[in-house]
Amino acid sequence: MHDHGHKHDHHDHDHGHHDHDHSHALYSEDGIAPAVVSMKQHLGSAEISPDDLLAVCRTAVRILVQIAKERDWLLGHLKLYMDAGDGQQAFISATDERNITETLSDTWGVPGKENTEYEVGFTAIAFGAHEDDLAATVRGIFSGLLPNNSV
Amino acid sequence: MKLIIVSGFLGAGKTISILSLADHILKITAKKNTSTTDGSGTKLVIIENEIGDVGFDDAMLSAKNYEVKNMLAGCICCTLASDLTEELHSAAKTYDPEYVIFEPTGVAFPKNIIGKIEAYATDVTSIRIVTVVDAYRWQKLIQVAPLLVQGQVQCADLILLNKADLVSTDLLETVRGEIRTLNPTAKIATTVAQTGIESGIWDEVLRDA
Ligand SMILES: Nc1nc2c(ncn2[C@@H]2O[C@H](COP(=O)(O)OP(=O)(O)O)[C@@H](O)[C@H]2O)c(=O)[nH]1
Ligand SMILES: [Mg+2]
Repeated sequence: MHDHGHKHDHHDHDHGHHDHDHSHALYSEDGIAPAVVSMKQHLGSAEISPDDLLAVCRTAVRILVQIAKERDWLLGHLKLYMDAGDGQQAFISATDERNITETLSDTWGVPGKENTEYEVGFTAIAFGAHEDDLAATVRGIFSGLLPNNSV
Repeated sequence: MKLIIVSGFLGAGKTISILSLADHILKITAKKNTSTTDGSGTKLVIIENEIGDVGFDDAMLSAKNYEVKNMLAGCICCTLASDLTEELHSAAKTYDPEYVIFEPTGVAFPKNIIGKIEAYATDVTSIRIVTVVDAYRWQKLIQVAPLLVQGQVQCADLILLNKADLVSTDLLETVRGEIRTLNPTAKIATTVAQTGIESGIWDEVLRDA
C-alpha cells in the first residue's frame, strides 16, 4: 500500500489563480473552471404526461450534447432526473453522443397518475463554455420544448 | 470503518462502478455476518459529492436502496475535506458501518482529501483509492486537465480502465501504457462498468482495506 501520509494544510496548495468567489467557483488543480448550470423545475402531469416529459428530456439532452460538440465545449457531464415522488423516477446522463444513458424505474409512466407533480432536476457542466452562455443555451432548449415556456 | 474513495474525472463511470462495489460489499458482509440474527444492519454508507445544486447520483443510488448522503459542492478546495470529515463522523455515529464509499466530484484531487481525513477522521481505519479512467476520453482530458487526471491516477491503489467497449484494442493499450507510467504499482483492470465489474477485481481492493 502506498504512502497516504501527505499532510495537507487548508490553503497551502497553489490556488493563486482565483479569489474564492464562492458562488459556483469550482476549480480543478489545473486552474480551469468549468461552467456549471443547475436547475430544478416542477411540472404537473396536467401540463405534460410522464412519457412526453421523458421525450422532452431525452431530446433536450441530445440537443445539448450536439451543441457542445459544435461549440467545442468539453462536457463534464449532463445529468437529468425526473421524480414523481412516488417511486417513479427516470435518470438521463450523458458525457457525449456516444455516452447517453437512461435509467427508468419499473413504475415509470404507469397510467392513472393524472395528478402527479413532477420534479425535474438538471445539471450541466462544461469546460470551455461561459456560464452565461451555457445557462442561456440550456434555458433556450427547455423553453422551446416544455409547455408554457415554463423554464 | 474502512473508507474507499472512488475518484476519476466527471463521467468516467464512478457511480456505476460504485453500484457494483456496493453490491459486492453487501454480499461479502452478509456472508460474514450469517451468525447474527439481524442481517439488516447497515454495513455500508455511500457519500456522494456532486457539483451544482441538484443531486443526481444520490437519488440514483438511493433508488437501489443504499444508504446515501449527499454533499453538494461549493468550492472543492476549501470545504470538501472538512465536509467529508463531518459526514464520516456522522455516518460512524448513526450507522457504525463497516465500509464507507465516497465519490468526490470529478474535479477533485483525492490526494488533497486524504491528509485531512487521516488527521481528523478518527473513525477511519484505512483508506483505499480506486480511480476510474475514461479510456474513451483519456487523451482529450489529459490535454484539458493534465494535473487533475494525472493526479487522480497517481494516487490510486486500483485503476479501472473503463469504457473499454468504446475504444479499439490499440487505443486501450496506449492508454494503459500511459497510466502505467504515471502509476507503476497500482493494479489496472480493464472494465465496462455498464455491464458489471467482476467481483475478483473488488476482492483485491477489499483484501487490503
Ligand atoms: N459505453 C460505456 N459507458 C459507460 C461505461 N461506464 C459508464 N458509462 C456511462 O458513462 C456515463 C457516466 O457514468 P457515471 O457512473 O455517472 O460517471 P461518474 O460521473 O464518474 O459517476 C453514464 O452515461 C454511464 O452510463 C462503460 O463502461 N461503457
Ligand atoms: Mg457520479
